[in-house]
Amino acid sequence: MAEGAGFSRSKPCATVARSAGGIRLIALNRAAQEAGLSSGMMLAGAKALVTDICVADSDPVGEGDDLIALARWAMRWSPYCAPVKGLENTHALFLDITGCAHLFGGEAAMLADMVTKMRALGLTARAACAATPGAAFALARFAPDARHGLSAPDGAALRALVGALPVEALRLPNGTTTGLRALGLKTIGQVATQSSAALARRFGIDLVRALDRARGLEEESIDPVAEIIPRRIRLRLAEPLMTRQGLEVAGAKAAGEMCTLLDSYNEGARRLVLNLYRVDGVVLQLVGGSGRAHRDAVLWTKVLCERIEAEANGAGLDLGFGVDLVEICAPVVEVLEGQVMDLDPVAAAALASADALHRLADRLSARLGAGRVTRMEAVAHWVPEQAVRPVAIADRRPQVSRFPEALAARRPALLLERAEPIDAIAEVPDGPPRLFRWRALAFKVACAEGPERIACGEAHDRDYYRIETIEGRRFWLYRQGLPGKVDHPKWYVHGSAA
Amino acid sequence: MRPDLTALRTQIRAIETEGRPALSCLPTGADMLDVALGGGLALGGVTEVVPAAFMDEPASLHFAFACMAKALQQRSGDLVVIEDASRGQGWGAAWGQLYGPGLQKLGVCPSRILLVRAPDVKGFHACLEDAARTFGLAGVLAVSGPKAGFSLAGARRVQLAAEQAHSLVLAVQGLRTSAFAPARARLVLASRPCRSVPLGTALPGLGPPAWRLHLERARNGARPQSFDLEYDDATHCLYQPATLANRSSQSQRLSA
Repeated sequence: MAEGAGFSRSKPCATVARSAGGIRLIALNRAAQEAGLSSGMMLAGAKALVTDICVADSDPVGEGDDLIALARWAMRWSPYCAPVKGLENTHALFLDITGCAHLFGGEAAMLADMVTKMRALGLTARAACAATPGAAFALARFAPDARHGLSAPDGAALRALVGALPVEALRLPNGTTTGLRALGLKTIGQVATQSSAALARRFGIDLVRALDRARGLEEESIDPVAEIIPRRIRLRLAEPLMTRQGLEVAGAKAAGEMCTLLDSYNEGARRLVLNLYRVDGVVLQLVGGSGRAHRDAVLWTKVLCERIEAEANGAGLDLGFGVDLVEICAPVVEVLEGQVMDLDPVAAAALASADALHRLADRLSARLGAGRVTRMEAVAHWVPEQAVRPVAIADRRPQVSRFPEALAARRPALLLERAEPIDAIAEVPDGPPRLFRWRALAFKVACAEGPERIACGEAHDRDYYRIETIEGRRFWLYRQGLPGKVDHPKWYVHGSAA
Repeated sequence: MRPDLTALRTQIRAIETEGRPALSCLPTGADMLDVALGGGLALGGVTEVVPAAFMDEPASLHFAFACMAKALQQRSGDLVVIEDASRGQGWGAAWGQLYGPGLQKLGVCPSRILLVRAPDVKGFHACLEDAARTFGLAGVLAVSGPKAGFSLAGARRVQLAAEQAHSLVLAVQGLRTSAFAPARARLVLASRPCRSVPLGTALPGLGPPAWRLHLERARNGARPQSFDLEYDDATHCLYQPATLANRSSQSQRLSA
């Protein structure tokens, strides 16, 4: 819940939303709960009970975003982490901790760590670990022990444990749980005694599936917030990093370890992502790219340090109370083929020069941002402004860079991003312009070449002319609209140094 | 010339060039210009190209790319073009962005161009210095905006970096940009009407682009002089038109 604006931990606070009958409470803090308020109560009634209650509008979208941010932060325990979907006013995370628990000293220690760290963020968390996500959800929300972290057993013992929980633990719509309660089925155990065919007939197949999931009989897939990354290394820090210098040292160490790891797989990285986990639950991300895959630790260190410097100069790097976990990922890796150091001096020089260019490009794109260091890619398109596309060198290699010779022969070296309208006097009906006025300057045409007709659809067909003025300045002009089809064709200037 | 003066000059030159690699040149193909520049465009140095008038800015870039086409023919490696993209009203807005097909026509293969757009003047200087220091590039072309004037120290750093890496740096300046003081040569470029091709139509056809180049100053002590140049798109050659070449050789004979 948002701090500030009169909100505090000790005062009763709530978020509210408009509903059919009036304004209702949505979420409450502990003080409000202790004062006897509950979720779903009308605000008027709540004010009668607690006169000094602080309220704020509920913001479901913002809450969803916050939950995703929290899920990213929770990736410190497991890379498979997802917010639980499809529930209103319930905020929960699924973590698949298969193969992760031993890193934290077992399941119980891991759950205790989660609860402690969440509490440090000012959140009240309950954690449980079970064979299936459904069972873990039910236990975490309704088992009393989950306050300190509950590691549940398997099989029959799990079913007994879940059986004692209320039907709300099944993660079903409100209508279904109300219906079950109306039938006198209050716990999961009681529902489980009924025949599944009868339950399915009455409440739909979803209830039977939810029952199996909660009792640890059916698996469920989760949709993790982050994509699967082939290579990743984490550095846990004893003391939080507060300074840029410290961050650069950590970045250098992480890059070094990543390059050693890549070396063992004979791979090179095209991109490295440095995730900085702040102690207050925010994850900062720095991305460094390269024009080709490599695993040179010195170069990667330089690129990451350039990124850190660029972010710090742009005032975008707020370390807050420090960073206690640094993670480095290589999302894009390529197998590196061995390079032959050629004995032929010419070939060796060409190799060295290509290498130097790549290093320069990597440094510059780290410093200026990837979009500012580009190559040109040719696109097979007849409209001149769409025939070229810039490709960031850190992204990929351009597929085609050569333009058809016949086409290139009639193009200017400089192309205006948007053609500018001019006043022109031209031979009627379809001759080149003789005089034109552009940007308040008059030009007299001495030589012209054209027209080159480019079809852009009916009234937008263009007749291009390369012209030279009497002073020898060259421009690329076009007439929009064909004579005979349009009464007064318009003239534009589209390029210079033609 | 008196012999003791020559000896003194040699001595000073030795002090100036101590510890630096000997300068070599990239011939442009236009003989008289190459002679005046002491062999061609300086490798390991900055050559400045300045438009004579505001409207000549595209032509100065046109000429710079014509020179770079020569560099790409003769040297391995890529061409790095560094643009100062900070200006609101400068190159990009005034004359347009570099256009791949047009550059290919000039003989600059687009696949060998690396385009860098610096966000501000400071970044532009840093990038230029970094690129000038890089070994193995065919050339570096710096396109400055109207406000990207080089400070004395900044220009010197770029020049030293270029000397170190033996790189060819062309600085295309805006009309109002302050001069690049330590440049090997300063070339002022003006458009000139081309030799038109009679086609029988009302307007004659376009001939090869023509420029008048004025060598304003050069480090090698060449006197200021002007050249008429043309560029052949088909062979990617910079040359002096025949009639004018004859005339200037005659005038040289007369003055000798």
